[in-house]
Amino acid sequence: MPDLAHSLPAYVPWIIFCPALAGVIQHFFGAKLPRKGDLVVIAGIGASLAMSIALMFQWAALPAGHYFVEAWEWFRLTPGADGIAFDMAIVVDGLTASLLCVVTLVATLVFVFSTGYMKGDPRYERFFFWLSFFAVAMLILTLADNLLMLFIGWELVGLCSYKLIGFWSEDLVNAEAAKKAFIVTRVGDVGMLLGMLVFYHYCGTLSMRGIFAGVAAGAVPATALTWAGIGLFFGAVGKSAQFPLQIWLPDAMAGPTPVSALIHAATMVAAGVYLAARMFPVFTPDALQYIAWTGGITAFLAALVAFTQTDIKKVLAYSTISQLGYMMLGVGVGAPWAGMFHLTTHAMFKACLFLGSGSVIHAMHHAQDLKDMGGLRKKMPVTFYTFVLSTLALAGIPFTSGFLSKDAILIEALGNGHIVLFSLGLFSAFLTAFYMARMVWLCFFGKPRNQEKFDHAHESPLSMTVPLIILAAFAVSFWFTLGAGPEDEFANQFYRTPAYAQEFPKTDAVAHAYWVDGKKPANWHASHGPRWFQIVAMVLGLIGLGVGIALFRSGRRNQNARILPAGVHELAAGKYYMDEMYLDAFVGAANKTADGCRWVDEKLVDGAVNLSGAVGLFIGDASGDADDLVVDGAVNLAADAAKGAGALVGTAQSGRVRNYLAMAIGVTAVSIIVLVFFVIG
Amino acid sequence: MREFNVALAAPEWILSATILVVLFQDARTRWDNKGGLGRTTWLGLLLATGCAMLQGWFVDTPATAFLGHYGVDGFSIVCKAIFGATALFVMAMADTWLKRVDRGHGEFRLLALMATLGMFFVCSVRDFAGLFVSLELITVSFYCLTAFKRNDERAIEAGIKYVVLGALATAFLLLGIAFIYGATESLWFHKIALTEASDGVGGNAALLEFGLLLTVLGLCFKIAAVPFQVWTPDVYEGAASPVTAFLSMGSKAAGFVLLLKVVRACLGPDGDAGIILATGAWAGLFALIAAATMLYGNLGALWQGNMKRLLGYSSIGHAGYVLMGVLAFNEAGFAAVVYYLMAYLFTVLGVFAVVIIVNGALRSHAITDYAGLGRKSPFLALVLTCGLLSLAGVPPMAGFFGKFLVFQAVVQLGTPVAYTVAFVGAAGVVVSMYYYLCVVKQLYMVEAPEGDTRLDGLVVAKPLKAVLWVCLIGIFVLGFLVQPFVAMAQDAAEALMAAR
Repeated sequence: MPDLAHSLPAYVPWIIFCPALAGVIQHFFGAKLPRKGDLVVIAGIGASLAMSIALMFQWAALPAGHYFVEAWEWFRLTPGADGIAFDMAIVVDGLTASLLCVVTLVATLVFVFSTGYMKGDPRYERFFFWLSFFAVAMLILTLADNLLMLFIGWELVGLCSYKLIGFWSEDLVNAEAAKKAFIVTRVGDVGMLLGMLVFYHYCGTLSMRGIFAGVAAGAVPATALTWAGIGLFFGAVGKSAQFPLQIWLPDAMAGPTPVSALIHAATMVAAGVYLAARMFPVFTPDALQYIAWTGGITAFLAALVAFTQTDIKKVLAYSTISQLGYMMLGVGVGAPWAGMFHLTTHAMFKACLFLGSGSVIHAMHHAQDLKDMGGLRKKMPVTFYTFVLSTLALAGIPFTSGFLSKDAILIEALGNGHIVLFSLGLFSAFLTAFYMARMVWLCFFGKPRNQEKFDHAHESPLSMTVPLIILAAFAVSFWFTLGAGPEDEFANQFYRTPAYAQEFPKTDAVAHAYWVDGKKPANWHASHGPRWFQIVAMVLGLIGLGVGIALFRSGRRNQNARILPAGVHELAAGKYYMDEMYLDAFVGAANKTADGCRWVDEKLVDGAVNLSGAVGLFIGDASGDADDLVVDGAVNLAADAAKGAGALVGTAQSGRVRNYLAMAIGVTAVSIIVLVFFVIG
Repeated sequence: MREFNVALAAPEWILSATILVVLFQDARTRWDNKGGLGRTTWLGLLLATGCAMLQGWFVDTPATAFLGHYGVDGFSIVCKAIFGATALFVMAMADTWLKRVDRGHGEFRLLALMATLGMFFVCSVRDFAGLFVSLELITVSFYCLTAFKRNDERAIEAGIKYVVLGALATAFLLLGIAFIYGATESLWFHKIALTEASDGVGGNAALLEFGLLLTVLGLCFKIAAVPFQVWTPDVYEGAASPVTAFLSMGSKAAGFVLLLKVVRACLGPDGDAGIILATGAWAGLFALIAAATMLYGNLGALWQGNMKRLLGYSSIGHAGYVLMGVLAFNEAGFAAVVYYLMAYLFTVLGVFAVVIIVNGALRSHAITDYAGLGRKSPFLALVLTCGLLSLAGVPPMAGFFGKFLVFQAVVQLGTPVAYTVAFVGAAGVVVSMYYYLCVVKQLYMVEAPEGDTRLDGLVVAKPLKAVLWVCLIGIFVLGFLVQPFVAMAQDAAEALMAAR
């Protein structure tokens, strides 16, 4: 095997340092800088963007399968003779390079958008500080080549998410939503940490290279490998809001809309998919089954709930959950490259949708409910056209980026024999087109339902529309087919040969040969070649759009109309009652235990103390008589003696107990010192 | 008889001398002129701590004194540094707190110094007699310190509770030591391993194990672990805040140092699991205690409205995490314990420093009264937030790293028991997140009630400000630039394993 690793270009750490520096400046001087420092923060992330693009081209110039890597020793544990080194390590391969570009590009655009959206906010400078901090954390997560370092970035993005969801803390609901998000994702993190520790136990390291080597060499027993993989994936379940931990993401919409676009649509929530794709070689077929089903079920369930929502951001939130499920489905059916591809395209068009909804909300003076909207397309043309283009991409209509990536996931699901999951995915695609058509129609078409708000509505300033236009441009498939041949998709070049894949090929019976050299495996049936289902998917998407528009166009149905059958609607509108279930099961149990603790505290401890008090009193009474006779007698005797001697040492008697004590101890201490030093020592 | 080597105990001599000086100084000065006491205390503590640390360079370790009853090795030096730092931090808090108290300055410092002396001795004891005496020196000092606010009903109640439960634990400990003496015919720690190795256990095995059990249970009182954890919230709440801070760090760490010494004594001469600990029952027992402690602490803390009670429960929870390191019964586990204690030092004392300052203004420990601190005093809120997040184990803060080392030591064992206890601990981490975030929410996301100006313009005395900065920096250094401290903890653990 030729040596595939190249040393890291020197500027790569600065991709992290630039926004970090900007964040520090913003924190200390933000309020005093012109424009409250937003330009500093934008310059910081802009520099990262430029370097990320440069890095992408530099990586693309390498032969296939090559990558950059560099490690600096962080600390060393020495339970044995040689010790285990933990590194701060950075690896740059196709996954990293593309995610870097996605993160920095979306972040830059969201930062610019925020200058318009957050204008006039009393804590404007603080907002930009947290945005910058988030970018740093996300970049650490992206570049990490060591699970421990990745985990640090992983937790820090969670912390930033917490602060930013609760940014408008005037409303306590926001604070609660922030807390819920942090805690629910941490439930997943526990699984991740335990999974990491299992890998550490068997491989003796947390570096990805070491873990892949260990797994390829069979160092981890099969059962442990499955469970460790599922544990690791559970971290992704929390972060990417997958079933059953999806409950936090809709609430997280309490944050300002740019935050929703950046953190809760494009980057942080996609980190789970990134983790699953990066750690793909360690997942056993069983773990992959779990991942695939988690993804498929999430994609379907969340799409259903989206029908029942009337808040524009909530619809998008459920759509995000559903699309993240898609990506996980891609990873689970053995095509992490397809999942990553969808991550990339989704980041662009979903950020555009969120920012578009932000633009609408801004225009409507912070009204988010679809029942207040309608007819906005004439008032806000730029927002409207970009929104529609991104909706088409989300619905998977041909010539959009979403068509390519969704197609890739579905074809992999079918090609690897997951018929049920494939059908689930196909149906979800139909539902997606349907609910998005409903939303676009309710928002931009028809008659205005709130005339007063409509009259005040206006197109947003350039700082907000330019990011929309740029993001919408990436919803077109053109960018993602550049330089690609018929059998050699664009995504192929980026995602199919990640670092370490060739050194440590996956050797499972399930032939995930894609991972190794980007070629279709032998058992991939030719029957899947004619992509008949592409036509089906396309038609379903169009039907979905058509049905959605047709239902609402006639005006007979209003925004609250129930589209789903009654029972299903109730279930979906109640979010499958999972919040309530968790509340009963966990919070209730914790409550009971806490009550138990309190009971022990109050009854047991106090009881014990009182009992001992009573016993003490009893004994005290009994010994009182003895006390009077013996002890007092002795004390009186001593006192009399002291009185006699009082004349001599009168000056030493100050009447204070502590002086007596000092004397006694002092004399004793001096005697001891003398004894020790001169007699024995 | 020439092995007294008295100079080796220089840190303890300095502390003892300081105690005497403070005692006489207190007797010689008027009640309204006690500033000199503070200076003496500071000087003595600094000298003793510095001296203890210098021994790391200038003493050929391991060395013993007093016929081998007193030892200095890498482990004892690191632990003394921890205790010295604790005492210094607590003294800075006490300086601020004592300004609000008009009597008893001398006694307070005296008792705190005596407790510190006990902690120093704890690091160096090599037999059960020394263990008992040094432990009681700490405990009795704390009995008085707890009830120090003698006009305060809560403090008196806390003091009585502490005494009664402490007496019970002491009885257990003493009985345990008696049984161990019966089995090994000696009070030396190292005789346990020797008795095991020479098959001397034979008929006495049950005696020895019973003795160890009682001893460990007795020590559970000091570390606030199940089954002797119940006193913690009450005493934490009732005692003066600096005392609570001292209890939560110093007293707990002393318990762990002794526990490590006792556990080490049961291991085989080469650091293997020995005969007793290898049976698996002991790992199970420790795992049970650790799991129960973590659950009790973290669940009990959930609905607390009082900051000090919350910290009391949280301190129980943390005892459980440290116990996870102990139950590994190996060097990696012991190193994790030492590291956890170092991380806990900066974290919990930083939190308590803020609690004392805020309490000075509020005269209340209700968590709801912390509302708006983030706006009114950003630095204090920052330290408190970082401290709480570190306690919750969020990277890149000290608490995360301590937990990481502890978990990795346990998972490294690879037994079902180890995995179970790791799982319980991990679940506890999530639960703890909830109640720590409840406080953070108050700091930043809730406004102070209209017209409540109690938290406006908080003034922080210089020494306390220094403590806050040191803690803040320590929290991040021990969470990120970990190498020197990991090395230190490992050296300490290595020295402990090498101890004879």
